[in-house]
Parts: sequence; C-alpha cells; structure tokens
Amino acid sequence: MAEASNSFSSELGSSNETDESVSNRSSNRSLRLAEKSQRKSEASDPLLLALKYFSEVKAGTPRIGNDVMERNMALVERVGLSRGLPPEGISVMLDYAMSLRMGAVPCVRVLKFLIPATVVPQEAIVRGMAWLCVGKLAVSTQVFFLKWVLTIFDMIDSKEQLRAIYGFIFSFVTEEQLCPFICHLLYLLTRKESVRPFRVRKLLEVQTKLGRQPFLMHLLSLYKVFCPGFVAVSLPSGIRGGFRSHNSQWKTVLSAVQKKNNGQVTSDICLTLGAKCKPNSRKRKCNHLQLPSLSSSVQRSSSTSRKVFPLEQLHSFSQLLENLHRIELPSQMGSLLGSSLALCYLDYVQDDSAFLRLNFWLGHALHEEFIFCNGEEGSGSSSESLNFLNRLLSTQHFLQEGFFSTEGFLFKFLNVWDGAFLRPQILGLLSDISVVPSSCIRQLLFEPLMQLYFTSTLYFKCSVIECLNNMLLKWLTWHSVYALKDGLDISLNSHTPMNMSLSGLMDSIMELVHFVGRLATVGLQLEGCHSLLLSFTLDFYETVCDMFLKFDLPLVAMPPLGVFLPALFATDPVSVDRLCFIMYRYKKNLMAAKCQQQETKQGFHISSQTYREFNRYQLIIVSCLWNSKMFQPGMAVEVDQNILALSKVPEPSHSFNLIHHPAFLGYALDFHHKCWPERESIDLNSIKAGKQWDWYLEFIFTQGFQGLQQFFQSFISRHSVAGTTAQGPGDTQPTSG
Amino acid sequence: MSLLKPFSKTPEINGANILLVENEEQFQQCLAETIVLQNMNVNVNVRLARSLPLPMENEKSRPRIDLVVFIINLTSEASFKSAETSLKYLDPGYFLGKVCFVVTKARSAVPPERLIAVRKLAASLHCPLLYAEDQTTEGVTTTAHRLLAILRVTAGLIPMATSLYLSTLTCYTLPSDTDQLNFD
Amino acid sequence: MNSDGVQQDNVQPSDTQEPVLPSGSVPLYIGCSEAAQAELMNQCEDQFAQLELLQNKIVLEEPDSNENPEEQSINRLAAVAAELKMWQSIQPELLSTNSEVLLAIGTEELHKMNSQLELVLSCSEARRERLTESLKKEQAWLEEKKDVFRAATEQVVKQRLENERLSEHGVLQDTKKKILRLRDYQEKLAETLSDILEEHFPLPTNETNVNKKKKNIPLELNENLLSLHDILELLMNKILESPHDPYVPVDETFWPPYTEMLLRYGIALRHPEDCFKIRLENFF
Repeated sequence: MAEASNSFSSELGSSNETDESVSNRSSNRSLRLAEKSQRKSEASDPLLLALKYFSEVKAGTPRIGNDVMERNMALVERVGLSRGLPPEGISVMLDYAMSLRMGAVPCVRVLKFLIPATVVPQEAIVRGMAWLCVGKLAVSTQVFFLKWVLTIFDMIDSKEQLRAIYGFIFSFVTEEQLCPFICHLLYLLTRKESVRPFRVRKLLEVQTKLGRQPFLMHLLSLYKVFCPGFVAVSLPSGIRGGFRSHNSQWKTVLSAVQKKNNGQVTSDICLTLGAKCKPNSRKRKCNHLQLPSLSSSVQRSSSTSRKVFPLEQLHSFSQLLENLHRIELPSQMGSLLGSSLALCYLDYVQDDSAFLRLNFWLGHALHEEFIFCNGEEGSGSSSESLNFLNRLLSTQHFLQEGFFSTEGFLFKFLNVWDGAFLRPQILGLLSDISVVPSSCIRQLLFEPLMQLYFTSTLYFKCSVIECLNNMLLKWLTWHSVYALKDGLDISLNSHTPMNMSLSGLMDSIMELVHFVGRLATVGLQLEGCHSLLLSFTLDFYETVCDMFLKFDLPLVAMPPLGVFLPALFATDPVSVDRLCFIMYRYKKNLMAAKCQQQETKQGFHISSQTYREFNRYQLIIVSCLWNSKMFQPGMAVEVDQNILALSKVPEPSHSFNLIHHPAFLGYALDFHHKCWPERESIDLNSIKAGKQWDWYLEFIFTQGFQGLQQFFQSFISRHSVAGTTAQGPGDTQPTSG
Repeated sequence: MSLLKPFSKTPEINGANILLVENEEQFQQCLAETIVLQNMNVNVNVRLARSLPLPMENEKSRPRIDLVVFIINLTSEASFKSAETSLKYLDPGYFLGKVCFVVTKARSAVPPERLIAVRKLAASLHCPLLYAEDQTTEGVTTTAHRLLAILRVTAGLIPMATSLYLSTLTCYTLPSDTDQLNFD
Repeated sequence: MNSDGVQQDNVQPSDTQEPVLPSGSVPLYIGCSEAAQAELMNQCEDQFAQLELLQNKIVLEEPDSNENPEEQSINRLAAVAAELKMWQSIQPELLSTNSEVLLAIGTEELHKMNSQLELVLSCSEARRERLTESLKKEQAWLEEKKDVFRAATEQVVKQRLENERLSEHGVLQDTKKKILRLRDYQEKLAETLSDILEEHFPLPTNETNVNKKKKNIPLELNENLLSLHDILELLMNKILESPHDPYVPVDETFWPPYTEMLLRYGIALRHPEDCFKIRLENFF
C-alpha cells in the first residue's frame, strides 16, 4: 500500500515538470541556445544561420524556386551527413519538417539527413509526436519518422517526457501500418506504471484484427512480465524473432559520423552545445555495437524526491551495498553490459523484465552485427565485434548463465560460420548455452558442428572438443545445483535446464556424449591419433566418467573403442596414465551407483551393456599392461596368429605390458640401467622377476603416474601393489605367459 | 559432352590436384595463391576454371583432379546458376565425396531463399558446404586450410580414410521446413 | 556450347612446386643402407604396379553415367556398402621386417611424438593460466556476493526496526499529507483539462457552420448542446457513481462530432448492444 502511493506521488512530481516543458520550452530553449552561441561565434557560423532560417521561416513560404531555402537546406544536409547535427539543429529541423511548413517534400528529405552528432533532445521527439497527432502527414512519412526515432532512440538524452506521453503514442497502435513501429517504440518505453488493463485489452483487440504478429506478442510478453495478472492469454515462452530491423537507412551514416566525431570530441560541434554538453553525453559514441552509456530513465532533479538511486551515479561497490534497495534500472538495457556494478545489481535483483529487455536488446544487436551485416568488414569493426563478444562472454560468466538471445543467435550463426571468425568468442559463447532438448539438438547443434569439425584443422577440432566439454560441465553443474534445490525454480529467465525433466536432461547429455564420442573417434583417425586431440578427448572423458559422483547425475556412459584403444596404445605415457585414471573413476562411479541401487531399491538402472563394456575395457587394460596376455584368444584384442608370426616379433603377447609398452619402454630401460649398472646386455624380462617388479612399479608410480597407480591398486586389489607390503613374489608378480 | 571423371588418370606420387570453379573469378585467384603457399608434405596443384565443361585441348595435360570446388557468391544469382549448370559436366563418381561448395558473403543482407537453395543443392548431392570470409586474410587462410584438409582425404593421403567416408560425415541432411523458422 | 568460360578455364595451372617434405625432417630412407633402400624401392614399385593394374580395370569398367538422381542415390548406397565390407574384411598390414627401416620409422615416430607433446604442454600451460585467472575472478565474485548478502540482511533488520518504531499517529499524518497532495494535484489536473477544453473544443455555433459553407444541410443546432467538458464530466461521474452501470444515453444534446472523437480515440466506448449508450473507458 505504502509502496503504491509512493510511486504515484512520484509520478506526480515528474509530470509537473513535464507539463511546462512540453508546452513551450523546447523550441524556445533551442533557439535561445542557438542565439547565444551565435553571438559567441559572431554570426560567422553558416550552419547556425541556416538553422535560424528554418526556425523562423513562415508557413506557406513557397518552396519551388526558393533559392535561399535550397541553399540553406543543402548546407544543413551536408553537415548532417558528414558531421551530424547538434541537438538544437535536430530540434529545429525536425520541427520544420514535421510541421510541413513548406509541404511534404522537404519533410522526407530532412528526415534523411537528420543524423545527430551527439544527442537528440527529447523535446524534439515530443514535438515530433505532437505533429504526428495532428494527422496531416502521409502514412509513409509517419512510418519514416517512427523508423528514425527507433534508430536514434539510444541517443535521446532522456526518456522521461516521452514516457509522459505514453498514452498518446499508444493510441497509434490501431493504425495498421504504424503498429509494428509503435509497438517497438512502446516496448522501449514501457515501465510497470505504463501497463494498464485497458491497454492490454486494446492490444488483444488489435491482435484479433492483425493476427499473432511478433511485434504485438513482444509487447504483450513485456506487459505480462510487468503485470502477469493483466495478461491472461498464454504467450510462447521465447518469441525469438525480435522486432524487424528497420534502421539500415541511417545506420551506416550514423556510425560513420560517430566514428569521425570520436576522434575530435572537442570540435566545434561540441562547443556549440554549450552548457548542455554533459560530461557523459560526450562519451556517447553509441556506435551500433558500442554499448549505450548508462542513463537512467529518472532525471536527476526528480530522483531526490523519488528516493531512487540511478545506476549511472553508482561508482563503487560500497555505494551499491548502501543503496541496494532503491536502485533504478537504466532505460537502455544494453548499457548494463558495460558496467560491472550494474551487472552485480542485475544479478541480485533477478528482475524478469530486466532480463527480457536485455535479451531483446542483445538479440537485436547480435543479429544486426553478425548475420545481417552490410558489406564492409573493416579491421576496425571486427575489433569492435571482438570487444563486444568478450564483454558478453564475461557478463555471461558473471551471471553464470547464457542469455537466450545469444543462443538463438548462435544457432543461426553456426550455419554460416567459417570456423575461424572470432573463434574463441563464438566457441566460448557456445559452451555457455543451456541444455538443448534432445529432439532438436541434432539439427541445431550437431549438424553444423559436424560440417565444420570434419573439414577443419586439428586446432579447430581440439577447440570444438574443448567447447563441448565445457558445455557438458555447465549442464552438469546446473543440474547439480538445481538438483540440490530440489526442484525449486530460482531461475532468472525461465530458460534454465530445470524447466526440463530429469529424463529430458539425461537424454540431451547422452546425445552430447555420444556425439563427442563420434567426433573423437573419427577425428583421431583422420589426424593420425594426434596427441593434442587425444589429450582434449581425454579431458572430455574425465568429465564424463565422474558424472554420478561429482554431479549427482545418474548416468554412466563409456567411451567408444575408437577413443579407448588409441589412448591405451599411445606412445606417450601420459595418455595411458590418464586413461587408467578415467577407468578408475568409472569403477568408483559404477560401484557407488550399484550401492545406491541396492540400498534404496529405486536407484537408477545401469544397463548391462554399460557393465559389459566396462568389464571388457578393464580386461583389455589388465591383460595388456599387467598380465602380458595381449592377443591371446579370449583376451579382448585378437589378431590373426599368422600375421603375428610373420611380424617376427618375439613374444607378441608381452609387447604391451608395462615394460614393453612403447610408452613405458624408456622407463624400463632407465630402471634396468639403475638396477644393474654393470650389465652389458639388456634383458628387460629380468625386471619381471621377484622384487624387481615391485620396485619397478614403485619407480613408475613415483614418476607421477597417479592414474596407473590408482587403477592397479583398485583393480588388482587382492595383491599389494608397489611393494607397500612385501609379499611373496608369486603373489605380486604378474602372471607371465 | 565431355565429363570430368575422377578415375580416368593415374594418381601422381606425392601429389594432389584441386580445381576451383568460380564464375566471377573474384575469390578464386587469391584462394589459389593461399593454397599453394601452405606447407604440405605433397605437391599441391591448383587449377582454375570459370565453369565446366573444361576445354578438350587441355585434356591430355590435365592431371587427375582430386577435388572440385564450386565457389558461390551468395549476393549474385548468376554465381549460383553457373555452378548449377557446371555440375552437369561432372561424372557421378565425383559426387562420392570429391566435390565441395564454398559460399561467400553469407553473412550479409542476402535473400534467405538463396541460402536455402544452396544448402538444398549441397545436401542433395551429399557435398560439404563451406562458408568463407573472403574479405580478410585470416578468412582466406582458413578456407585454404579447410579445403586442404578435404583434399588430403580425397587424394588418398590419409591412411584408412576415403573421400566417400568423409562425405558421409560432412553432408547436411536436407534442411527441413522447421529450419526455415530458424529457432526451435 | 563453347562460352567464354571455356577459354578461360585452366589457363593458370599454378603448379608451384612444394618441397616434398617439410624442412627439418629427414626422409625416412636416408640413413638406411643401400640394401634397405633397395628393399623399400621394390616395395614401392610393387605397390605402384598394383595401382596401375587397378587403374586400368577402372577405366575399362567405368559404366555410362546416368543422370537419374534416384539411381545416383542407389549407387552411393552401394558404394558405401562396398566400402564398409572392405573395411570389415581388411587385415592389418605389416611393416618391413628390416631392422634398419624399423629403426628409422621408430625414430621418426618419436620425433613426431615429441613435437606433439610440446604442443600438449603449451596448451596445458595456457589452460592452467586460464583456470587460475577464472578461479581468482570467481573468488572475488564470491566475496562480493557475501558482502551483498550481509548488506541486504542488515537492510532488512533496519527496516524491521523502523517499522516497529513508527507510531500509528505518524502513519496517519503521513497519509493525510499524501491525501492533501493528491487532492491538490487532482484539482490542478482538472483545471488544466477544462482550460484546454475551453480553448480547443468550443461549442459549435451557427456561424462556424456558415463559415464551413455547409449550406445545403439545414443544420439546426440544438440550443441545449453540451460542451465537451460537460460530456466528459457526465461520463466520469457516471462511472464513479455507478460502476456497475457506467453507461450514459446519447441524446440530441451530444454534438455527434464530439461523440465520434471520444469513441475514435478510445476515451469512450459504445454499449455492445445499445448503440445509443456510451461509457468512459476504464482507465484505472
């Protein structure tokens, strides 16, 4: 109750102020400013003279054959397209155009070159809207004006007065042709106070007339976020189309002008701004990819009465802590990305509408910049993209959540990606996506990745595997966090994995694990079992093997033979060691799962297939490294005996035991040398006898091969391994064939 | 009609030949130069053509072509049409993994129907479809690397891998209708 | 048939010769004895002879091409099936038994392994650095979150204390002040509204009609016409006094253009069944 009246009285305060300024302030002020600066520059600036002409020209002045007008117009046009117009220039020209003082022809021409150099005063927009209400403009011109407003929206210095005329703007939704743009504009202006039942009714009415248009759905979904009680209709959870982009008309010129102006902030344009040039408006470079600077929708003057704290005035973390309860979100959600404090705040408040608006802004920006980009791809713009994506990445890491607009963008972008453009960023973002339902994971994710993976270099293959590993880790982490919360949904934007049933999640994870299994198998084959790729693959399986114990996910999936064998027969001992470690963890997980199954009777069911695979792998490792029974019938890996005989390798079954395995041969030689320094001929088989074997094992384990040690200690458990207790040689010794 | 056949000539020892077909001859040259600059353990021979069929007079001197690449500029309808007609002059044997498409300018304001048409074409022929950033050196190098990765397989330089095998891994399934909606 | 493209094609066989092997690695066979080299050469020649044999077979047996896409699909399937069969039946091939050759292969293998492991090492180091970085960042975030939690808890406690301290009287005073402010505000709004209405929406007079030269229509203006101001007041009062029945009958005292305007801009609504009744839109 207290809150409600609070907000009402505050609206009172702000509209008081609005009252005066809408009526008369704008043109007067800009004229005053123009006059003042004119005196300063001693009437020498032709631009100011031209603007003066347009502000004073009488209605009905003839256009055709009017050289003065033509000259002035050309001048302003030139300035507008090259440097952009100062705020008062925008005001004057917009007023001139929209009033149709010289008819409709100059109107469109003026709108075309109305490029702001710095900011657009909101009074200008309010007056423009007022002219719209007069209803003399042609519909196409009205649309053109609205497009212009949408394009320069970020550059409007404050939106408070625009919000005050929300109702007037809203009344245009019934005009069929204006509706998409009006909806977009309203979307940007809407606050909780703007949502009223009669507006919802109106929108629904329009919807029955025009059909379920995305622009209406967007606005309605925002209304629903603000006031769920008012919007009873069900809306699809993610309308990901976004508002159609319609700003390309000015975009190129605008970004060019802004780039140019960045270099010369202290140029004359800025000087003519006079007192109005706030320090933060100077920073407002606002390139399409630059984050809009923080500016709250509340003006400073009214903020005191309102007892809110605009984010832009937040300078330190301690300030954030003090004002945690009364912070006002900025009007441009994109600006949140630029401020770490703002992000902190966003993270704490978990405001649905904020996320929705941020997502909307982001989806639009990403699409514009990376999928629908127009032509020139200079080095400058790509470093901009780089910064932008890096910022986005760190934001997502901070929030520990991907934005759904990023996901939508990625799924689209993967289809036109060359695999190198901004690779670390794209793969980084990709690894942040939330769980993709197994029904569409193939089409959205796997197919484009497969094409890229199998036609790219080793390094790309490695980074894809790494990316998918990180993705799996995120999914598992989410699961373990939400599983702990016991189904309690504390999600921010309702796109978290817990909207999914456990079996749905497991299906997706299973698909992912199988997919990586395929990628790794064929990748290793194509790249000649490159150690680097093998290493990344084993990273992945280090995650997979611990899914039950570490993340509480009742799922065990074994690696395919195509990964297992290359790792086991790798020439480097690290891979063999890591494989043994992975097998050891699998065993722990399987045993724990079995325990749970027996205890609770309702634990998950592990298929006998998984056990069979595991046992087979275990047998292969033991028979190959420990028992020297490689290639023997019934020992898992079988090779035609005739071929073995032809190879003339003595005792082929021994050739992959811990002594002769190519990865460990070096250690065996080393050990042999240390044991029998005086011996001339090398007889590696002597290592197998008696105590030497124990010593040799200990020697190997002390080289840092923890995986081997854990594996053998857990698998050959009846015997003490590595001489912890000296037993008879018959026990500890491997059965040599 | 002279068809280009994949197995009509004996392969060269330590050699691989790639044919780049592009109607507009924009990207071709610079891509070819980048490809030969890459360090490979074999001789890579790049041949260029605007369209197929290839002229008869070069028939004798032309080596066995291990990979035919069609470069399509998405902003031009002619580029797509030309590639489409050229395809007729390839022996069906080539479509067992020895053809691929490279598309440029996909990330720009192009009609989505054209992109879909190219994807459908590649999918129906079971050929991989590569997207290239032809405006940056990094993009060109990447494309060169990717083409060489395919060439290595199609020229038989990778043990235990064949072009048919690779093509079963890289071909798209036909884009379904839901795909046109773009998002789930 | 021959177009520009034909002359154009194949003009630049840019066969830049590449070094056969990357610099730095020595070919396998150098360093082997002549006997070993000869053995390798023989093997190669055998292989090549076999290749030529197969090549001839292919050329002879190459079937007529068929354009039919369906048949192409079937051919493709057959080819895949054949390849699968081949892979399933293939036997591992042995390396040479010549120890010199084996040594050379082994050496090369080890060199390769060495360079690969160097890559792995540098990758691992880079990753360790990254992980350290992100660990630091996450720890900082954790600290921040703890701070925020503490601050929020304090805030709650403070608020609770304040609520307890507030007397009923204080709350009453506060509310009274608010009511007063609101009343002022409402009055001001009403004044402004009536000013605007007076200025911009005057009652139609006969003169205005004459000015507009609508002479043919014998317009007899009702003397009792209501001003827009009155209409609005009527509507407002009605909706406030009897919210269950907010409709007001439209009679001849309503000037039709004004009624139209109110309806068009969604200020008033027509009764769904009785078109002679209107009500104010539910603005609250």
